[in-house]
Amino acid sequence: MTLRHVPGPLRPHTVGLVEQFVRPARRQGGRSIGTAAAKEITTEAESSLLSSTTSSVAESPASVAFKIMSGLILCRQPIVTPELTPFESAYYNYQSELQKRLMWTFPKWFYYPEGTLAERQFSSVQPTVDGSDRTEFEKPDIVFNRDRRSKQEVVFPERDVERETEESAKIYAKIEPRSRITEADKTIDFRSLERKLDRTLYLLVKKDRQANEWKFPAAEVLNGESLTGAAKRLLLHTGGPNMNTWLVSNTPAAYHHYPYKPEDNEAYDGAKIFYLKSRIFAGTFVPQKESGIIDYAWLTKDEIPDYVHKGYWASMANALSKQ
Amino acid sequence: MILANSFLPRMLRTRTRTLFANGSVLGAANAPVASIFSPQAILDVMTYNGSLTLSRGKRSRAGGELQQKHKIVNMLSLISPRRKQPRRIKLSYEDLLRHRTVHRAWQLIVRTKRAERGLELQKQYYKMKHACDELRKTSHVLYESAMEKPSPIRFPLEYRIPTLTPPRRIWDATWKPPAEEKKRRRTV
Repeated sequence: MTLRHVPGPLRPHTVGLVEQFVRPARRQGGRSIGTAAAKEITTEAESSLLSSTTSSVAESPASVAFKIMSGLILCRQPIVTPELTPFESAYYNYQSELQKRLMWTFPKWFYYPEGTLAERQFSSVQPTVDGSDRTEFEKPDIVFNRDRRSKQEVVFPERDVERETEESAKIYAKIEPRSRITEADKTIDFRSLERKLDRTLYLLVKKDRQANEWKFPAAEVLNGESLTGAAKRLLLHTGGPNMNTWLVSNTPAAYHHYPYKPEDNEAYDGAKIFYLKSRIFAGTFVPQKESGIIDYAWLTKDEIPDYVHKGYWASMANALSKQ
Repeated sequence: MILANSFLPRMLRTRTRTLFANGSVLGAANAPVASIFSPQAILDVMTYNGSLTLSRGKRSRAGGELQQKHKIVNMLSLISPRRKQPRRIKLSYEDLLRHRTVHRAWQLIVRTKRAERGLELQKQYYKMKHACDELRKTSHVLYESAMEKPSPIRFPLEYRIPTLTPPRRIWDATWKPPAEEKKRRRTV
């Protein structure tokens, strides 16, 4: 099948396709949002969206020839969970303390049989419980060396270092969690994928021109090519083959259009860019010489507005995720 | 052991977790009646009936029966709540109020987060819809190719769920496509 991008009349059977494939979210999501404030915001968003579509239709009559481009929103998913707020960490701490308080007494006799050396070692390091640490009118309720009114502190005897072999040391080595703040965070290396582990990072590329230098990568859709095919070619030609990526869907997730100025010396009057979403799992983005890219950066949603033009950001912002 | 199995559910019936389920403290358990169902009592019944074999075909040594008895008491004591359960939490009125306030604050945060996330998804959906509408106006051929759904949808195995702390190797920067893929590219 050969594809030609001639803006022509719609085929009758494609008219209802949008509604068919993309079901309106209000039917499913209306209940989950619930609050009146949220409803107001959504209606605002809808109305602003409607106005933007109408304006774009007015700006782009069918007689204007547009260059169709396929763009790529390439992102690295968060590697660690989001940072906790002070209230969240306090709440988790409260819950874990409650759980410890409600736990059964540690069955020492099962893990350390009576009369063994291990039992003696274990018992020697246990704190003595006499219930006098709590100044209350209640009577202490001590059973199996535990005051049942409070949580139990179980202390395990330290391992004998002298008897430790290399193998056992390896097995029993304490697991130390890695830091959530990496080297790239400290040096603020925008080209590194190890920065901001709890956020989604998006790829932006810089081209050698006067205005709108920073953008999401995009390339023209050639004749006979689909959006997906163009996006794959774009990725190979701009970033090289050493990237393990996954294209989420064939459906575009964002749209941006702009008119060309006379000094641009373009055959078209403007360009329409359809952005596809993609994920990167491994590998490095290496800008290729022929692509005309002079710089690139992996940025969070908050950082992108500092790089891109206002109008461009307005059409891209809502397609990206906050976290 | 049939006897032991039959009383297990009753023994394990503790209500300590109600605190987490509905936010009330009143459900914390009293120890169930242990006199009839204590390990020692069960053992007495079993020895009276004369059935005390845990492992089949194993030869018992002298005094083996006593050892076995200890073993069973030990095992049963693990699942018995007797004397191992904590005291029920008694909160004063102020403490109860505090607990409920914390719980409601938490619910409020969860609800706000869910609403924010829903709104974000809705915005993303409208962006998608807008893009699709524009594509349909621009080129119906491209539109139809974009609406094609791959079947089956292949989900990458490399996807990982965010963890509390990062893995040892955070990012595999030296990834290269498999050798077959390279060969295929050369020939095409």
